Amino acid sequence: MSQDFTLTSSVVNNFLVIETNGYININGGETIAEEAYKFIDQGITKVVLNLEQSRVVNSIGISILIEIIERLQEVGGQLYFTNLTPTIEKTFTIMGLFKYAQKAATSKDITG
Amino acid sequence: MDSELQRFQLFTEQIKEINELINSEIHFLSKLEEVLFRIAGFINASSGFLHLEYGNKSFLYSYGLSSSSELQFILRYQQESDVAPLFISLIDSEIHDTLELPIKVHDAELGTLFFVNKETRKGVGDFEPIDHSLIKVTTQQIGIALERLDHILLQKELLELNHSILNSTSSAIVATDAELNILLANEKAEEWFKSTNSERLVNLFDGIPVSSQVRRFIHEVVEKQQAMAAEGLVLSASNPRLLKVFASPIKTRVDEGKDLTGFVFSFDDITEFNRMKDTFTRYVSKDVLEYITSTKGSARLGGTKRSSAIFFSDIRGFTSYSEKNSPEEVVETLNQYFNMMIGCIYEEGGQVDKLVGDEIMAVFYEEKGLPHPSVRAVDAAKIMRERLEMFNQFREEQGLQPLYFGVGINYGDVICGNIGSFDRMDYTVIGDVVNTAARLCSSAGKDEILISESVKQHLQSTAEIQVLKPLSVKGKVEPLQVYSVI
Repeated sequence: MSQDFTLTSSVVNNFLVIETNGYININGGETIAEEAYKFIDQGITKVVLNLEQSRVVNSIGISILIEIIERLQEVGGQLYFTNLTPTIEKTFTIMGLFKYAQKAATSKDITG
Repeated sequence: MDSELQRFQLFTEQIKEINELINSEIHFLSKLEEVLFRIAGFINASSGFLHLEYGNKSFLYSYGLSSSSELQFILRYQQESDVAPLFISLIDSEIHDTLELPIKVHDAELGTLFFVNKETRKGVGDFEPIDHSLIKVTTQQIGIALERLDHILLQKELLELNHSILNSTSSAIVATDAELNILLANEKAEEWFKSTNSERLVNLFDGIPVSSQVRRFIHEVVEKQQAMAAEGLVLSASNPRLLKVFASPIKTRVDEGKDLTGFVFSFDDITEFNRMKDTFTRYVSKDVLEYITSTKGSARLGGTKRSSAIFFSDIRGFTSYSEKNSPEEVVETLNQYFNMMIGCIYEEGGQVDKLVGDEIMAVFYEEKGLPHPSVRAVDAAKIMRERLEMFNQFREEQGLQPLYFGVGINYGDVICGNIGSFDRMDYTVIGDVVNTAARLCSSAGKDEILISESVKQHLQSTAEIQVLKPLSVKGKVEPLQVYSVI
């Protein structure tokens, strides 16, 4: 779609930290998944998603995030969400995402 | 089926969430962006916006546009009459479907919720009825919330207006419930009635420090449940200002009967007014004071015709007396003289109009229950003469020169009212009757009381009247028949 969706990633203490910027819809979700799978394939099992710069997420985007969680579960890994806006945190709660993923205030709280 | 059920559960959950967002607080307008994002998350719209014009404020939130398009949207939307076409023009991908619903308050369209293209895993699809339902419910809820906000703002405005009216008055105003618990108090009331123990105003009867006088008055109002007033009540021992208190019960119609819901009390500080009134009575007559206070500072020039006896007296040979004696002695003598003489006028229900040098001008109006003004004026003059005689005996004992006066009394219609300029006016009487009384006074000899024919006609006894030769006075063609009161 027309919105710019960007992300940056880095590996900190064996955690893949992905910082997103923009709408997490099908496009945003697939971009995140592509990046995450690249590192999972390289042996990374812990992924931190810093959503500070993402204000909107839709259910397609969420379904892709669930796919990432499932992929991480297959390798005994874990997905972490940080810097969530109240809207996204509420949506994730309604969608039941925190049953399978953890949340923290900041990325540093996870990576140390 | 499971998926449909899950979607329905999600739908109801979103409705609940949006409802809470909109209805949980008065300042829900700050939550509109969150509302937009929540709907976007549910209906999977690629992009959308929420636009609202409320009061003098504009709200515009969007998502799904590129950064540069979003900036253009914000910058240009105020110039565009219809926001949706502008939004569409800024989307660089194909438009497959749109969903738009207006935000209305009382049929007035105040804004729009607008979404473009429904995303699916397989690409772009059409919006579904459930998406439409969510937006419809949301726009309706926003409309209802705006309506409620209108009421709240109106109430707030009225409350502020009430407060400013209440605080602009110098009276302390207190509204209570039926048990006298204070519901509302203006600034003056808070200043006067704030309990020393508590920052809050509690109960008017036993929660604040007021005198037993005020307490009794309040008790009486509660007992009688009717509008009452009292004057001269002392506020409290620590704040002994004098009050004029008005109280009124508040009754609302409940079914057919009327229910007492509370009371309104208004307390006016009359301490200064009373002090001023006391001081003022030394300078003006009681009638004039009453007139001035009743006009509440809006006395105007103008007068009315009234029948009255006009009294003039002055001290014979006062000019030469004042020349021979020191100013201090002259003033002291005059004060003693006036104290004695003015009392006589008041005793007979007369009013001192003015004191000019040694001259007294007094007016005797017709008063219910009192003898005719002419009778009272003559009686006053006779008492004055007797007292002056006693006064002279005292003066002679002191080795002081005796004083003699002359009196002129006339009766008839005079014009009384405010006479002068807008800046300086006197409440006085004027007319031919006044002038003639003054002439009679000038013509009177030592301790002589001269009266006109009109005065004589009203005297019950003429035994003490001596007929004098007609007197030629200035301004009169015919000589006046004059009488002397023995």
